[in-house]
Amino acid sequence: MDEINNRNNEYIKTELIAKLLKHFLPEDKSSRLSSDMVKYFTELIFIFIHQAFTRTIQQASSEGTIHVDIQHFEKILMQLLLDF
Amino acid sequence: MADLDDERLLQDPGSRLKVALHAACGKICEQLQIQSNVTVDKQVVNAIGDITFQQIETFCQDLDVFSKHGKRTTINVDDVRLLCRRNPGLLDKIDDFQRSLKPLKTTSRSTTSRNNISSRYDDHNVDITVVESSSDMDDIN
Repeated sequence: MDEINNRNNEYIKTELIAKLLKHFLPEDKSSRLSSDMVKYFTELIFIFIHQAFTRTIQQASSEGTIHVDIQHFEKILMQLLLDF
Repeated sequence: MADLDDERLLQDPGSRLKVALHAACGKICEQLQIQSNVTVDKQVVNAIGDITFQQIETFCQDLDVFSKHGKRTTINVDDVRLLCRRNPGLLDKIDDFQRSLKPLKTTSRSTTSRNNISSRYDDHNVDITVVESSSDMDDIN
């Protein structure tokens, strides 16, 4: 099966990420964003979410269940945060 | 009563962004569910949405500090790459993305300097490419 990717802006829109960045960055002069940077950051966030889901699903599969639960997510959370 | 609360909630820009982010997570989740034949609980989607929101906040603080450290007023691609320093696999993915966007642009200068930095963090990382292969689960089915 093909890996999903964000090529056509279909899952995470760069506009959404740009708005999020503007929301969190301080309002002073030292926070202008290059347009290229927003694209890369969108890809980074997409990889983050993709990894979060994929690892959770793999954790559930390794326990033999097809119902993915919050406990599976909790188990992978620590390593996910360390990797990012 | 509930409608008024929802209206007030949606007027707050932070909440609107959070809702949009959760929607995006939901879309990704659905696609992965179809690919791997599992059902993912709603709680998990909410949790991942919350975590991503917090992580973006942390990243923003980092990006701001990185650009200030480089004595720049604009945050650029090198700051994003510095965010990925902890995991060489992650850095490779970002570089692949960069190469796919700009096949003609030479990035040799920036990659060699970044590779020297990322090699220092070899002890505690998970090979990201191994974890990601969802095709393994299709074989189980």
